[in-house]
Amino acid sequence: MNLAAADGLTMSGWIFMLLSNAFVWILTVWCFKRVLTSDAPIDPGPAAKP
Amino acid sequence: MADQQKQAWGSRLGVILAVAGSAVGLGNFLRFPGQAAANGGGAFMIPYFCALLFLGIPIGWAEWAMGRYGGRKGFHSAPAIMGVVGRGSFMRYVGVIGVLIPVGVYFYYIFIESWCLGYFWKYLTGGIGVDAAATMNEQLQQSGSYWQGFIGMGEDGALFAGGHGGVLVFWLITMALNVWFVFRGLSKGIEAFCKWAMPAMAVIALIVLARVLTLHPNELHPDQNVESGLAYMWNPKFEELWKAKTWINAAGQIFFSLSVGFGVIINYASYCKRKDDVVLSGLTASATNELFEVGFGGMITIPAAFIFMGAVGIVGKGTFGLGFNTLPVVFAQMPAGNVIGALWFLMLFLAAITSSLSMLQPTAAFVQEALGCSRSKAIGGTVALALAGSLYCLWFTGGTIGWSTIDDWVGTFLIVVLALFQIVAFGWCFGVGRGIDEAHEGAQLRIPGFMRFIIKFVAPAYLLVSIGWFSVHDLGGWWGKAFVPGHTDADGKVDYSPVAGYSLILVAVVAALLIVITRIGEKRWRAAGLDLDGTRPPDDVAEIPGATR
Repeated sequence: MNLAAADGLTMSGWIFMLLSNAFVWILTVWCFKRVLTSDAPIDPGPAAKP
Repeated sequence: MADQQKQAWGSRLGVILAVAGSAVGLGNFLRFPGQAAANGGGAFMIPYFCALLFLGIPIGWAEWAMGRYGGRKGFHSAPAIMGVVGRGSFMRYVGVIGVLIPVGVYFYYIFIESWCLGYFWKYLTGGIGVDAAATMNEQLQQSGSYWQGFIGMGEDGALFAGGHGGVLVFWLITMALNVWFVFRGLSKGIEAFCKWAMPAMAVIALIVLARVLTLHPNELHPDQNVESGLAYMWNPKFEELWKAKTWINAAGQIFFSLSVGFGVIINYASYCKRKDDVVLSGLTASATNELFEVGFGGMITIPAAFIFMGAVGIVGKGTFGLGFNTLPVVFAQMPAGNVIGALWFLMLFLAAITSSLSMLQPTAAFVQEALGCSRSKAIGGTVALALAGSLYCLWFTGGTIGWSTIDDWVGTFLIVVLALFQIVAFGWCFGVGRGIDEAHEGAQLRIPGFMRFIIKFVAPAYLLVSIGWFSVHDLGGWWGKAFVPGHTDADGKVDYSPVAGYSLILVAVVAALLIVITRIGEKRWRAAGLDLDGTRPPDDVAEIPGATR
């Protein structure tokens, strides 16, 4: 367990936190942008038809 | 009539959100932060992202590709698809694990899901009675007592004795909601629900995150503030990287988190069409899960607990203790705590139900295609089995031994075992080159070339090491706990419980039942001339007679 928490975030703590968050946010936004900009419904199937 | 219609996804976004919904669960918000803080803080992210890159994403792609390929052959269940991809009976019967896991986990997951609904309702109507004026230890005790009573931890059968916060009512409501959405079908039920539940979860998570990051420092302990809470979670301890358990725990977290090796993705992907992009869809579902895990789970749970309670509320609490014992104390002290508490448990409930829906669906699909019955009958049979298993977990609540034993064996160990066989079936039996070519059909993204090496060698080796680790460190103890009277744990305390044995017998009985159903299905598929051993060209497709999908 990290017992040095009372001293606040260290430089490496900031780096790990920001890089990890930046990675997951950028990856997610990039993926959804790719999906949504080419989101032709694949094949709605009979269930989606009236 | 849903029975008469072929099951299919309505849109690419829908299938992505359904898979992501399956992956995002309680583990993202409760298990991940505890694992990270206990295994090196920020440094944990190194093995964690390695496991994501070398295990989670490639195995996920393999599952997507295998599922879609199996679907083209007319199959939608893990045993049938594993038989096709793995070219024979051995992999088909190994694939039974891909049904045993979702249905076995469902037995207890639905119970935990009902805690979330119950706590949501309690916070909506005034909280669970933690006195913010009491000392911290007293508050923890109040919260702990309430939680233990609510889930019947005191003794077996306690929930049926009354006076336990109505968890049985919440369980019934949860069960009914699950059955309703699965009965409505893939597109109108699971997909439609996930399409609003996932954005709703993201919005709630953002609200709670904003609340946590704007909290004032603890008045009694000014050193307990947002920054120190984040520091507790994120300051790296690099020495943890030299310990094997850090890497094993990181891999375990990725498995729990992404739903790989669970038998779910292979089923969901089987409803995709040949030109549906499984590469980008798989990556997007994984990325969404990571956003909820790292971006929300990693920033909310531990910092909030640390600000109000310091390390005392976190150390040794475990996944559920953190969520249902510690956080209620946090909400009791937080301004507008009941509102935030209600939102938090609503978010957990949505995370849980999107996961539990994905556990019923593969089992129902398996029963339907193996026995050739209608979808409504298959769902009826699946629900009957799920009810029986869940009632077992509801009865044997003493010390949580009944359901935690199933969690150890089925929800932890077998996931890694199934993942190993899946990646071997994909990389070695089907052929890694052919498998990646199959995945590339209709794909906007190319799987990087180095993934061939990872899928064929690195991922199986990583999984073998994980299984070896479990075998050495856990399996003996788990077995002794269930079947060796007088067995003691590492601290010398007797941990033998016949209930653990009952749970394993229950799992064995369910596995035997699934094997029998697979055997029946195998005969039917062979008689119908289906390509159940995957020996014919990819486009040799046939319909399963009798099964109205």
